[in-house]
Amino acid sequence: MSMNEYERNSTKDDVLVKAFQEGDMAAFDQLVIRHKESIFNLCYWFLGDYQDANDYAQETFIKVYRSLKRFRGEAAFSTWLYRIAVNTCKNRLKSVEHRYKQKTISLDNPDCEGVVLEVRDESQKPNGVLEGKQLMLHIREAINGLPRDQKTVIVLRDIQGLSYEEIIRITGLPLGTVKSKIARARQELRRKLRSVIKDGV
Amino acid sequence: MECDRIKTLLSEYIDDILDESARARVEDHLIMCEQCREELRSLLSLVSTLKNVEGVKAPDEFLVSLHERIERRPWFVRMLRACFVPIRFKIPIELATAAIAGIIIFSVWNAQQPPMEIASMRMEYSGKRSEDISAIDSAAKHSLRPEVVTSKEEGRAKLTQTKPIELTIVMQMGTKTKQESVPEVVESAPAGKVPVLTEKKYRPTLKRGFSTADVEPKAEALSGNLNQKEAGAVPQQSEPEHDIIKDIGNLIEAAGGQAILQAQTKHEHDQGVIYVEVPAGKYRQLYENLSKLAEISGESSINAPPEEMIRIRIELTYPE
Repeated sequence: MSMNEYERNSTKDDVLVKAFQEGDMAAFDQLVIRHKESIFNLCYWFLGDYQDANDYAQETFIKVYRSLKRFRGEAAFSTWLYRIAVNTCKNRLKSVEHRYKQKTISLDNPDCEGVVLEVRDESQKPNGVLEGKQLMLHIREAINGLPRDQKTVIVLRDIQGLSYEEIIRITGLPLGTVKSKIARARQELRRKLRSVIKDGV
Repeated sequence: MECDRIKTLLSEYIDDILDESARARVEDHLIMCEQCREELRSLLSLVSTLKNVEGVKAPDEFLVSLHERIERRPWFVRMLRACFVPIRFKIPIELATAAIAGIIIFSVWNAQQPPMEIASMRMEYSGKRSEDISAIDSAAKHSLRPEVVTSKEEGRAKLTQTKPIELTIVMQMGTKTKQESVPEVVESAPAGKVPVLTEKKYRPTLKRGFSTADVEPKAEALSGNLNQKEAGAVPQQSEPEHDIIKDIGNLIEAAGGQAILQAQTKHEHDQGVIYVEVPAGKYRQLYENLSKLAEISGESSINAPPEEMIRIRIELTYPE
């Protein structure tokens, strides 16, 4: 996203937010339409499940709807929106991680379908480069195995393409922490996905 | 050792956020170290893959179901919002029209009720009256409120049906003598049980020598008085008139009816009015008996079910 495009989008958000605060309910719909795909994907990569992504993306917009009247514009609307989405998903992850630890004990349980499992056995990894949907599922599983904070910063940085400054504003983490968590997450993903990702760019 | 330190900087090197000296150090090392170059290549590959990974698409109904969830709030939140935020929807014109039509129909229906017929009349009660008042009340309510009205026409029909039949009998006082009174009527009406009739004195100069002397000892005594008076002894002029009212009361009781109230019109001394209720089957006999007390005018018979109670307004008029 070039700087000009970012500013243009930010200005358009500001106009819509102001319109909503002055009683134009359709402006809220416009904001949802503009941001739903990025928020939906953020939730999807965080939570690793389509239905959960739908629920928590909607939960995010419901929170936005309820507090947008009080939004004073200290941060850009998109930053504020992402912050709400990240916190909403983090709260969800706390309970999911608890369940995940219990479920991984019984790997052969057929009821575990839908539960995100980390692929730990090297021999089960496919040999050869994957593309499209298959690659996406592998990346999803790899990201899901990351610690929560690493997951947050790597999704924001490498999948959503946000800048470090933006990530700092959204997460509230110091720059040094953001840098080191991104570095560690990349190392971990590289290790997990070595066999399915094309080398040499 | 240098490789470990360089590897920790590769991520920032990719993102181009290292300062000048750190970047130079990384680049100097990469020229010499094949292992770290390999590390850099795979990291670049990963970052590129993540950047271009196929994402997911939000469902088409995302906005619609979001709206549904926003509107499906806890009841107390909805109530608070309804209290403090003006409603955002417009009331449909059909609904508003229906509401106005309902109000008009209700008020028209109410306006069709007959007015209370005795409301304007000055009533004078004597003795214990509470049950009589309640009798009037229930009679009035009965005539004012038809039960269930399904349509306008049916309502009107019902209104006339439920209204009690009311007749007027005018009695010309002082037109007949006591000999014409009817003993068998008085038999069934014990003396002194006419609580509804007043002792109000009307014209004292009216009819004399009239009583139910044959069966009533007290009346006999009075009659005796009258006879004395006629002989010029005691000028007790109000008694005969008291007696005729008593007699009317006895006749009404004999007919199985009851006097509701006795009232006077504005010309207090010109006229007395007695409202009574009797079963329709007894009306004819009552009329005949009353005609023996005085000259009367009115309907001599009535076409109604014998057990139905009818109301009679008996006007007592006195010749000048």
